[in-house]
Amino acid sequence: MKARVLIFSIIATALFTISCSRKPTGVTKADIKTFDIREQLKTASYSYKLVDTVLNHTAYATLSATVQWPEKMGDNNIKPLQDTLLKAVSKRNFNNIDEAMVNFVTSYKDMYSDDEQKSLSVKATPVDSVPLSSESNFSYDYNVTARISVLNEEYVTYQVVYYWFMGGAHGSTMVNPFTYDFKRAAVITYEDLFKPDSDKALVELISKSLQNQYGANSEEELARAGFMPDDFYASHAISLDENGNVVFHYDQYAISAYYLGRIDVALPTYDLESLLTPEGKKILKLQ
Amino acid sequence: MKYSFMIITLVVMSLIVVSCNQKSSDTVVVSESAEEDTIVANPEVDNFNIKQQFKSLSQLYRVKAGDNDTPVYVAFDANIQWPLKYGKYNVEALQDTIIGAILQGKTQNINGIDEALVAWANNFSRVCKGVTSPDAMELVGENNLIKEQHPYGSDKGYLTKITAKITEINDQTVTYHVSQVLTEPDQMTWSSSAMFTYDIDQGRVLTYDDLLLPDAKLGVLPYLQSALQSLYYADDEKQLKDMGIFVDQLFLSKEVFITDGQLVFHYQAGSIGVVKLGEINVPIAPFAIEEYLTPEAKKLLLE
Repeated sequence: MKARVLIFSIIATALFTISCSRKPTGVTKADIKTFDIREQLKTASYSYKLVDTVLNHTAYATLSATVQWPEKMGDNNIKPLQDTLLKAVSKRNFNNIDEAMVNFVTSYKDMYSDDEQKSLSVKATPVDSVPLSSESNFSYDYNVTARISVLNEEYVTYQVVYYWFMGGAHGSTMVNPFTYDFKRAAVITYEDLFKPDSDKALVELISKSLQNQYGANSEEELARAGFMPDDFYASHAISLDENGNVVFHYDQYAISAYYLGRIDVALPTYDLESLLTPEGKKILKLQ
Repeated sequence: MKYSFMIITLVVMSLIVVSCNQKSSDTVVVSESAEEDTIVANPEVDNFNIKQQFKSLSQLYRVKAGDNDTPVYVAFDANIQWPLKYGKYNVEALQDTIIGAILQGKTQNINGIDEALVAWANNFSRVCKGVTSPDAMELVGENNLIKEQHPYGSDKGYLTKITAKITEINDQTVTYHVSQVLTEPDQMTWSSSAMFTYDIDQGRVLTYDDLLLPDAKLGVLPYLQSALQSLYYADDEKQLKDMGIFVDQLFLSKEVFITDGQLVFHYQAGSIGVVKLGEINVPIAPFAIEEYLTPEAKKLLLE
């Protein structure tokens, strides 16, 4: 009977070994990589009643800040990313994003230019909300929004958008896009990617890409569509999109008429290879 | 002695079951870390916690296609922003919707995102004509091998890519974009996508019927054409036609989502314009179509 037990045990062990060592074919769960992300969506907003005692003028202003604040992105060091966001939200030095945001929404004087500030005789009183039909009909906005546009295991791209409306036909928008490389623990800059003498060749590629994008066959046709080809330049406001293309960003008016809005030109990495620094080739995985 | 048999059998069988039962990576325990508890919130700043995982699958396979001796290559590339918890809310309905979008509704017997991605990758009948059995697959390596040489797939290869990403999130709603692209060896590209907005508090995806009244179908159509003209900087209907929009065949898409405070109508590539225009998203300002909005939409978009 002992022998039967032994034989049975051997068979069972063999069964166990075979069933566990058989390599599954095709894709399995083990092929999937996972990393944890923890963020806080932070919002702060202040509204003010602004009374100019000299001009006897009343207006309302709302300042707001929204930040998708990264707390954990896999095991990557994201301190430099957090520092970059801090600087994007506030001109002054803060160690804490909450303080930076509160500073932004309470700095209503930053809405005005330096010259305007000198002549300001404005008394600001915080209010809970802006009346829908205010007695003055003047309602100003100033806000900053930092949001993730691309996130993968290699990098995260943020769009920091500043918007202000101080009266007039329309508000203004300025965008600061950037990509943070997890491996290097650093923001990818124009200088990281491109050789110093690349501007001229980049402008040609950007112009060609815009022609494709807007169905134009020449720079003259681009001009008729609202672009200013004489003002074309290689923007240093760059980021990576989800396909790894390098995106050159232009704010309103920078190279085109206002109605065309913000312009983003995405160039595939294989078009850029000859213009890249050795470091740039590594970053863009061409080496 | 019979008992010894039974005991050994039970022990060995349970060993097999326990050892072979790979722990599902889909099971996620969302723990509140000590670090989080000690964060002192600034009372002037509202915080909304977002917990998610980034899941990726990136591999290149050599596949024997039927009787053909020449192998073909299939590169898989999946990048998924997988939600775990938003604020105090669970997101099960959102998770189910993402899985449904990845598998285009074929979600029977699928438990969790990892199983969904495996099913997506192993579904060869969609990816590679003539190859229906996963047994014919041989792993070559990560698909950057094929990416480096042929960014959009090689002359012998298929590249199939799926992405699920958040396009907008606030403390009320989250909008997702799930897109699939298949590039065939002849560089022919097929794509499909889904865009939807999930109401975090209500725990459900907002549908056309949630946002628009029954008579919106005809009433909103003129606004759609006007919004398309703005989108493509077209002065009139003729310019819109010249750009490739099928002006005579416009219809109100049932696929709607919210972005930037606008109601957006989503169209698959080729449905209201030439394929080269890709998928088309037409935003319409909610105040312009207020009379066609449901009370729920008005609350979300106008209040």
